[in-house]
Amino acid sequence: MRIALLEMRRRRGRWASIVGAIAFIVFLVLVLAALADGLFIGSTGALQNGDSDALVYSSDGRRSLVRSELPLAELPAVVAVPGVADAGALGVLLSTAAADAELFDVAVIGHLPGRPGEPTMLVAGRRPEPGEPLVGIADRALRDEGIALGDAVLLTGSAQPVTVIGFVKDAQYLLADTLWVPIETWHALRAEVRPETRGRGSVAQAFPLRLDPTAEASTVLSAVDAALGNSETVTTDEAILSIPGVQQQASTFTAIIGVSFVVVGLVTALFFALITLEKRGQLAILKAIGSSNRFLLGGVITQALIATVVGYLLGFAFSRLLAAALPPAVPATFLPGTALTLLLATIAMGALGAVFSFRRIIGIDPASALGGEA
Amino acid sequence: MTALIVDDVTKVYGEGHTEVRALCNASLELGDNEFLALLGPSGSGKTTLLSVIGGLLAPTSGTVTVGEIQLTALSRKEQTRFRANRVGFVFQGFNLVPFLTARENMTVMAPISDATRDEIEARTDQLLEELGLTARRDNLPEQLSGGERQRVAIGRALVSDPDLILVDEPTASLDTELGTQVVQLLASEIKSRGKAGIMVTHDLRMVEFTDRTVRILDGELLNG
Repeated sequence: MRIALLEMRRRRGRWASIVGAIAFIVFLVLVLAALADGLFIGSTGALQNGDSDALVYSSDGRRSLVRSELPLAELPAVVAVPGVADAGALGVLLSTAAADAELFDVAVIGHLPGRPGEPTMLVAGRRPEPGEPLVGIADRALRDEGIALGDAVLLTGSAQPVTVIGFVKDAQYLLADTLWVPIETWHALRAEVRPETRGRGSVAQAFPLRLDPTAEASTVLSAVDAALGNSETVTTDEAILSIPGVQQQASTFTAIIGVSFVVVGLVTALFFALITLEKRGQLAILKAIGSSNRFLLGGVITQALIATVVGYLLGFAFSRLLAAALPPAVPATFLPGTALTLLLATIAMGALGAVFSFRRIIGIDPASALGGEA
Repeated sequence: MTALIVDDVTKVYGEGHTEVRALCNASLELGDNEFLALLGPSGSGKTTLLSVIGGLLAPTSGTVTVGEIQLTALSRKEQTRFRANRVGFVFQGFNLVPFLTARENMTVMAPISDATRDEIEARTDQLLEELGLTARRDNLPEQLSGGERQRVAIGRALVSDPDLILVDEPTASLDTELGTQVVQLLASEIKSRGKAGIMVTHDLRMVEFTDRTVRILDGELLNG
């Protein structure tokens, strides 16, 4: 291992090429992963961070918040189902809004404060009280649009301004910034902005559920549908993947990231194949003087691990620099969990690439060191 | 005492009409504290014999015994361990690790041989002094002259305190004067340690530094 380390230290130029290549790929992968995570959270944050285990849609709603509609009067029947710990209500209104004459897109989400479905990550201000009229908590992305606590937001077509009393994070829906209001305010705003919905009574578009931890989820979901008779209840994870485009988006990014990791493996394999070919003579000498294959392979693995870790750290540093320079409008989210997963995957692919040179090293005949062949 | 017994060793490469007999019924004995010159033209089989004695090549038939160890009975793993501890090699053309200093090219044996790192480092420092390399200990091979490189190679062969030193054409990359100095130094180091050594050469001028000369021609040993 000492020899392997000295080789890397004394032949920095050569190793810089593999470290640079890995750093570049890691940089690309981290940026892609951040965009994928950013888009995913931007599309699904409202459901993902809504403190629920399952969502009840109307059976004709095809798992869509926009299409589904359920009478709020059915909520007690849902809560009464054994295994349901609590239930809330959600309604979505996609619109434009203005604050200080500045127009922006917004998804106004009606909810029941303190019940399942409300956004969990409060970062400033306070939550509305149940039924508190014309107040709301906004996704902090709206803060980047210039909205502050106490500002009034007026939806296009509405005469009733909503006062922002708090900010939450990672609560966007379909890449729109969200404004979370009590369900009663949502009804009032919807009636103004979408006149065609007037007269539909007190409705929600989905009931988010929190289940008893000991309950069997599939049994409870079936029981809810049996109790309502006109619903389709799915887990929150299923509901998230049912949001239009989310699954396709996730699989596209996963495929690109997967291919990039294959490239890490191939680049490492090619590098070690070339370097092994070049060091053939030297390896034959080391074998002739008594180095075991295990000793030499240990050195190769050590070098591969160091090259991939250093390459990763450089790529990570560059991606952080880019993150700092990105405008807030770009949906890039750098998650520590994703970074750690990518580190492990980079190390694994680097090591796998190095393993391809093992056969070549094992095949070197130590006898070739004699007779001036090495 | 006998350091090496080569008994009726034959090495055949290929088969049928491509068959080449590199060694034919070669037998040889070498005592402790004996330095032997193996003399022969190119293609005579001297490197093959050296490879067989050094545990780098298995003979087709016959046995090789170094001290109490019968080489032909060892597994590949045991042969590797044998080379690390019982044999020292000096290769043609120096063959040092290019990114290691003179001292590191000798301590490279520390993780390979059974000796402790402290033992190897102590012997390295002693050998550097004996070989006149103390001032050059931190130089890379490319910063050393041909003679200095070959002295480092001699140091590497001796540092694990082996019983048998195998030397392959040590003067091939040196001019006559340097070659003579290196072989003289090699002979003195081997003799002062009471080791057995075999030097393959085709240079007649070098045999004066050895105790005995064995000629080899077409794979057959011709004593005297």
